[in-house]
Amino acid sequence: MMNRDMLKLRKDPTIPPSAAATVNTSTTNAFPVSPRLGGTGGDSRGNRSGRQRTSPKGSGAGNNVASVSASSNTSVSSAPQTAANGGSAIGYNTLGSPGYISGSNGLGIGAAGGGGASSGAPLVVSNGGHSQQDGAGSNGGQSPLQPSISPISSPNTYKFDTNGALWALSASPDYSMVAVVGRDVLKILNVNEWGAEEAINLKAVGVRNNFAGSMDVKWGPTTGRDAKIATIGTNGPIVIWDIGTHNKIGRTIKEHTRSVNRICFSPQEPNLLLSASSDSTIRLWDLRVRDKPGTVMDAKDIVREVQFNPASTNDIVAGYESGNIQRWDLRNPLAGEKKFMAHMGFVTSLDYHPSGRFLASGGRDRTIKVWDMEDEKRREIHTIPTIQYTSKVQWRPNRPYQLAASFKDESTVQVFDVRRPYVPLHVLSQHDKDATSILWKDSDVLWTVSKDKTFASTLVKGQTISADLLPGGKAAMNCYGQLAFTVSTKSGPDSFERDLVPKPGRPNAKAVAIDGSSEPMVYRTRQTGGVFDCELFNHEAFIYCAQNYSMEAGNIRVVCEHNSNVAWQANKYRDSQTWTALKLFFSEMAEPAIVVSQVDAVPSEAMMAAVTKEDEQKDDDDDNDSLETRAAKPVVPSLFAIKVSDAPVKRNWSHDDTIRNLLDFYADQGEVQMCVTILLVLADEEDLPEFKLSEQWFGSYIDLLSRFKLWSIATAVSQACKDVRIHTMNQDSTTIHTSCSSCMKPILNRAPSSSGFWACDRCRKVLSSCSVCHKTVRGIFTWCTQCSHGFHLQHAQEWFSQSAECPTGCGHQCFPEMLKLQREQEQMSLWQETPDNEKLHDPSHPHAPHHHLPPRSLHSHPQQELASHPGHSTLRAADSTDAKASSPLSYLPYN
Amino acid sequence: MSYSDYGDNDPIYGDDLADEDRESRPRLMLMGLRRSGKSSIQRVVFHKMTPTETLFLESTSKINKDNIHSFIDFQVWDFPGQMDFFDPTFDTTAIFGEVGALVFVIDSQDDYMEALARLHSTVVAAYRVNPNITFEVFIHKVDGLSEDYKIDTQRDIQQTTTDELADAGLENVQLAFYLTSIYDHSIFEAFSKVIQKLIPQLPTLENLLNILCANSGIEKAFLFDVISKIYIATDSSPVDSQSYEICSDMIDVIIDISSIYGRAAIGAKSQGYLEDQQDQPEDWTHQQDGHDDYENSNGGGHGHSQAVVSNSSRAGSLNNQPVRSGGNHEAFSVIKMGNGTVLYLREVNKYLALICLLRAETFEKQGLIDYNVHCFKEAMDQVFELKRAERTRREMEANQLLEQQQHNGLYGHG
Repeated sequence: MMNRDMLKLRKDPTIPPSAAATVNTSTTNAFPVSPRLGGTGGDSRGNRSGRQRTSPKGSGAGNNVASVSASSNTSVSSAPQTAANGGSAIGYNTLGSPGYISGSNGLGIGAAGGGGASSGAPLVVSNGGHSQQDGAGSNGGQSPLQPSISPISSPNTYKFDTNGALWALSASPDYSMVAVVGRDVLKILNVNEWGAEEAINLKAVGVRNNFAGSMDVKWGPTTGRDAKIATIGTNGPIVIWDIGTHNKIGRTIKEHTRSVNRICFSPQEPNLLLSASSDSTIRLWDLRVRDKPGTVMDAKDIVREVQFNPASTNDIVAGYESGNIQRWDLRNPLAGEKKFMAHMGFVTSLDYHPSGRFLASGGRDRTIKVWDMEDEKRREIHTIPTIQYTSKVQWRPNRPYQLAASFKDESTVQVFDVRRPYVPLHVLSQHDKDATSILWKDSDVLWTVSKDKTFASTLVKGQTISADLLPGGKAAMNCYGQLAFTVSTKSGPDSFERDLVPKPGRPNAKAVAIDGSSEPMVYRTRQTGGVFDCELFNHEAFIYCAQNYSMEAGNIRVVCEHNSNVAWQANKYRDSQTWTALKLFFSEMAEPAIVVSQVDAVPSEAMMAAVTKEDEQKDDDDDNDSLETRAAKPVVPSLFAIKVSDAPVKRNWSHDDTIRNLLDFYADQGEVQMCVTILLVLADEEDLPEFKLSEQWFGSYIDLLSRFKLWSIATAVSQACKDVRIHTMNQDSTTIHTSCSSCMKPILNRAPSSSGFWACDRCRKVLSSCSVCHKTVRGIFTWCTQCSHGFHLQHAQEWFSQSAECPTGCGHQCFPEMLKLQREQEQMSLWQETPDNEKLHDPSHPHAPHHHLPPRSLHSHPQQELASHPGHSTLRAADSTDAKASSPLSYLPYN
Repeated sequence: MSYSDYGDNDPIYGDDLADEDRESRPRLMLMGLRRSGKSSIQRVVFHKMTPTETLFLESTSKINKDNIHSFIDFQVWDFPGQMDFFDPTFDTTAIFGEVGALVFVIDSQDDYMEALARLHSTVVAAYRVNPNITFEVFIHKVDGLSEDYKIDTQRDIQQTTTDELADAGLENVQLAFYLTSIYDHSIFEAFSKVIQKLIPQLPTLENLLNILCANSGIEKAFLFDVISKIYIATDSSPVDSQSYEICSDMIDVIIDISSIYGRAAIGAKSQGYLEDQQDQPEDWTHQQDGHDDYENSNGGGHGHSQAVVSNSSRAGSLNNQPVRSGGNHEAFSVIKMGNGTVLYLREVNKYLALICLLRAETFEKQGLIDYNVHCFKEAMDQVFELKRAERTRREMEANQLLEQQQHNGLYGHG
């Protein structure tokens, strides 16, 4: 291969090849309240489990409640009575006044700090001038090792500055020394429970041998004079150092044609070394035999990680660039076991459980997965979503359920209990920059190295349990004014074990517990929840008004009067008065016109008009639905009088200020309904002032209408609005939600760009198949909105020309009109072409199948709107406007 | 701005590249069922078609051969989906005989059982003819699939395929699976990995990049093929999609800016003016604010980025203008981002650009980095010298061998 001396790069001049030892022992307990899990703690967790992993930055305050309650198992939906009472998703109240009720059980941040103190760890926040020393570069020997630390600190928690970014670490078998490596660092440190000091600096030797830095280091299990460490040079070779006798390079392994990604010593056979390389091989080296080339295992894929099974001599496992994991038996280097797909993207880290049966793997898809290697099915038994992809994962000794992980571009190291995957057990924030690798010294002390040039030791025992910082109580409101809340019922500080419940698995799944017990457990937060009506919002009146308000612009007088009546009937007396006032404001313009016209008009006609109007008002009291027909009817029979009242008459004063005050008042009250309706009614007024909030009012009113499932009214509002953005709101990315035809699971979270998928998540049956020919439908998909069974359009036409029942035999009368039509000898001429759907929906068409639709559907509960319209809608999937035009709701005659 | 601009008729490069070892040019075949997205992939990756335009592509009716002249020259064959390999007129030996990689495209949004059956028969047929083919399976159109569903789909496809191949006695056939979509960078990343397998110099390039990274404090370095935005080599640290995406976006930015301000974009009329300017030692500097769309994971939203793009007068050479490499006329650009990351681009030769990601602190020693990158370029040149020398030597040997064998009455493979 190419000569690597071809590149004669100049070394970085500012980093001295053998920098003097800088010993800097600062005592710091990990922060009692980690910044990540403090005030915004719920936020980051919420993002993670909500799969919005792209940005760790906090979302708006509004999201907080929803996301946290979904993530930390305090979710409202876990309270069964919620589902029963509410019947709809508990959302966030979007009324003008924030209906945000922050539930808390007293475990706030301050209280949590107290909890940490009570658990015995002294609270020391130190580490002040540390970063300055990092930057100083040439501060060699200025701070001697401090063997006795001030009594306030706890043992095993310190940092040690090594003067160079670190990549990896490995400890001697007795854990008295640790080797740390980085791009410019190759050092061996003496460590005890109070601090670390530099023992050997191998950097100079490395540089002399034209071997720059190291990407990985492993300390061989041999001790005494045979002690060895192995490193991976950044420029290729594996270097074996004989540190037991002299600090020299014992052997350089250059057989790999591409870079080596990981090395690993066998725990049982001290002289066996495995190396994983990008040249698609895993090689096994026996360090006792110098000249023998290693055993080659051809993996046919870039090998990122390799590990020995601690419980077996011959069992190794390798993780690949493609996301596969494969087990090899060293006795058969020709072929490994079958690869299995573990992660999307490369596998970054693997670690065998001390039991030798379970394997933890971290991958680029930002998950840590736990596998049962004895189960042939190769299904992950636990999945932990992480904030970034893991750079290193390791099981905690003597705690069968816990593991620690460091992440790429992340300064904290997190300890997880696999039974509670969404909240880390501890978050250790010892480092200022990315933590690169971790190592458990024993079950309580974790060693970490970081790009901030430090080696750190942390006493994990006694650290704050980060789950305790999460508020246990949550509350959320839905649009019907119901408040759902949960309160956690913590039984004590160590309630974790008691809150475990048997894992709800698939019935056939072979259940395995990691610690060898019979039943796998998961953590379930112990919580009580409830729902109560808090009467903050009169939704009945809102719905009534939404359904009955007229939003027609132009005819202000009539519309205001109608709306006034509607508001009165909804017991909104103040609103009713507002409408009356508006009527007076804007209708008096007609008065002078009539006065003028009286010269020509017959007086009795004007009188008659007044009388008719009074009649109208009476009628309105018992029937407020027929306004349109009434308005369309000529109120004044005289053509002449109409002409006169239509004459433009300029008002000589403006209502600007009044209207502005009025709208501001309603906006303050959170009554977007009034704001929007008034704006729409007055839309034609020329001197209407500009409202900069009007877009928001429209937005929240439409949002509110959607929450009450008043889709058609929401559409009418957005259509009536003159603001372009609101007006075109539902013209882009219209989504029609469907449900699986075999298990009725709603088909959710589909990207708007896609046109749906071919299989259901739950029952894994093909979704868009035709019930008649059982083939996948491409192009126009027609389906029954009630039983969800779909068809090719043509097959639907053919079938329903014969029968009214669903062809699947589900018994649903998909097309009940068919019976009637058959009786009337009406054949399917109407169904021949899609454009005829327009005709279908026209109530005036004499033979339309829907003509018998009762008008009550307008007044029925909005939830029934969908259900009250059997029949078929045709969807051209890619074309949103078509979809809209033919969706079952759009043909409801609005107004 | 596509490879077709360099086509065989290109007066400068077409002939010399097309003539030499036409036989040994690796072939990359796109196969799959009809409407699975083969032509779209080819157009998007190699012809810079925007993904939305691919909706209007006609279905391919005959084998479409596309010569790509780049760092390595290869041929992309786009097969029509309805092609039947069991047709006796179909010359499998001719098709699969010299193929480098076979890319099989599966539409993940469709029922893929039929596609898997076709994949199986294709692999069996191709492997029988040429066991050296690398098989790449693109699980395509995953843009609409949810995360969980993606991995389930891949697992299912991988499981089924490898099981079937094992049943057919082809355990040794290695299939690589990629989740791709033309709407994001995944298709480029997948193609990068496919192309990398065809590059014999890959270990050398990777090693060079490793040394460069280690000695200059660079976090990640990519060697990009500028036009297709495929990376042909990177250092050995794992590639995360964010860093690839940002580097690939940078190429777009540079190409856009250089086509506005670069020499190649300026019409012939102003050429004279530029000739006068050319000798000026100091290049213009273009300050640009607000690259906020470079979302970074740890920047936390206050990403005020600053782009300092300083191109030489031959900046247009990054564009499709084929300018002879050599001399000092290469594109060079630095973008500093709000989160303390610096993007460093330098043109290596007419097809390749080196893009590095590094921390702002490291970039204080820019002179050192410049020098090291210069060393890297020289090393690259030597690699290609070697390749060229190797090729001529091999040709001579082959000719000699041929003569000998003809003399002996044998006919060898060469």
